[in-house]
Amino acid sequence: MQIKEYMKHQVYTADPDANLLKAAQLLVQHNIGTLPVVDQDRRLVGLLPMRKILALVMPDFVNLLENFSFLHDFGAVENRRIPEDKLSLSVKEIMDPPVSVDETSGLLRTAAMLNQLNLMEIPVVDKDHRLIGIVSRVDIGTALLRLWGVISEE
Amino acid sequence: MVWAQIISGVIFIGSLALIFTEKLNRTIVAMLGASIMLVVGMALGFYSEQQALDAIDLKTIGLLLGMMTLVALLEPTGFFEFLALWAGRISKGNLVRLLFLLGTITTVLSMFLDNVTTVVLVAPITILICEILGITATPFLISEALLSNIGGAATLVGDPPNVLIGSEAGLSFNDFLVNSFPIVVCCWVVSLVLIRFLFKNELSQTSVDAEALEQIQPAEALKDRSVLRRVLGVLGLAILLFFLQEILHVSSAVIATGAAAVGLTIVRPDLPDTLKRIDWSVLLFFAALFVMVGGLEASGLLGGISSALGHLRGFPIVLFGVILIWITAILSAVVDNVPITIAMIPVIQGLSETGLDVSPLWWALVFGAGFGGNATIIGSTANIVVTSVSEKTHSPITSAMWSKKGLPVMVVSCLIASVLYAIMFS
Repeated sequence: MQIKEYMKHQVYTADPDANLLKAAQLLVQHNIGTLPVVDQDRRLVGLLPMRKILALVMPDFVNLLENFSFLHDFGAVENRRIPEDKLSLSVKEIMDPPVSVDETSGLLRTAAMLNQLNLMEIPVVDKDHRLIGIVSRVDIGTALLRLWGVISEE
Repeated sequence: MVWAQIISGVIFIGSLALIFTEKLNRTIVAMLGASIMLVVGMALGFYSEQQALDAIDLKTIGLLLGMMTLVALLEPTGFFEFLALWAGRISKGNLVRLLFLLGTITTVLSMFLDNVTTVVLVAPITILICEILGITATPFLISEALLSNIGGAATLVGDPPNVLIGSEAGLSFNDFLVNSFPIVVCCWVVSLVLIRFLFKNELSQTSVDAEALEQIQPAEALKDRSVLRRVLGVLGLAILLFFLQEILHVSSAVIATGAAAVGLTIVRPDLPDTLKRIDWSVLLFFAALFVMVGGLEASGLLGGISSALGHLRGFPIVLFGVILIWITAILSAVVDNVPITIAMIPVIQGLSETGLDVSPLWWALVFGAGFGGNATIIGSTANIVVTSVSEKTHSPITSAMWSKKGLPVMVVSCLIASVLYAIMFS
């Protein structure tokens, strides 16, 4: 029940020096939520979630208020666009610090880490810390529900 | 006992100096200073444990604690957010009207409640309103802090220095209404006009999307209306009792702590959560400073100051007051106004022992401490709070930005206060 048996082996990655426009293209093209950022040796150096790019236009009050349900229209914010100069920032300037699980990590442990770190996906690395795959909450949930026999295999 | 006087003076001034450097948290410095004062005082035989305990002015601490508890009960109800959202909605995107409404709301709230809490809760809503309008929030944030600092000087409970001055000088809520309130209102109005002028360019921005404001439902920000009604009821009752204080012959501390007890009883909040909202470090800071000042008094240093100031007896008191406004204001611009007030109180008390009628000087201290903080970004806690909120946004307020607007407001408000003060007290 090691995570390496359930992870996706095909991982799209970003170069730390690539610009955000390039990263955004990858995210959209492959319909994915997170880009692991790796160096030339495929060692994980950071994570670039889609959320981080959207945060460039997110209003400030969202981070300052616990609750904004009284606001039914974001007004001028709704029409904001990512400024051109932000798109030319390099990935390493806005990426999150690298977080990963070891390929031998258990399924439930990995699920717990995703919960705790509030991530949608987490990269999987081998014992030399090289990126070998990625696994999402849905991947783990599906695997666990099947394993527990809640859902029978067709 | 000259040694005792010198040593106690050195401990006090050394502690204030350390507070002014802001290298160490002021409450820690004060506790350390108080401990040294007591130990040295006991060793030299000029200060005892009992004297130190008696020096802690429980009226000041009780009044602060009581008001802080009421604010802690009011804070989670969403009342502050409701008022700010309502201001946004009825401004209909007119920026001058928005400035006036937000400024008035923060001022009125901070006249009766802690202005830090007011600013902490109103600032994020201000940012929200400005963002949906597509304009910069900076002028509104700075104005809120400036106006609430001025407004806080109006009442006994508006600002911690007033609480302190009130209890040291035996001034009631009504004394503040008669002596301070009218002058503060004049200064506030002039400052508002000045702010409008200083932010002329920013306020002529066109709001991109005023219609979005109409979609705000302020009432949805209110969390528990029944709790809100109860807290506002108790708060209203406390303010009414403050007015009647002289007839009832009770101290403001009794009214505030009593109201807090009633509030806690009828709201029955999650107590640890409510207690967490109280600024214990301010209360500790005050207690420790009282112990230090008690040591100064016990060493006979205060008596020394008053005999040294004895030759000022012939000096016109109003002129002295005007000078005091400016000295206090300039010092408050550079450091927090609480230690300044604490340092000035013994001087005024020393003067009073020379037989001089010092009552006008207390008001000078109120105005100086209240208005001085506006000049710089670190001049008052409200300024620091607004700035730190703005630092979490895309357009942080800088020190230069602050002083460009705050300094003129400080100078003009102190000028108006000086003129009105001279007229009123001569």
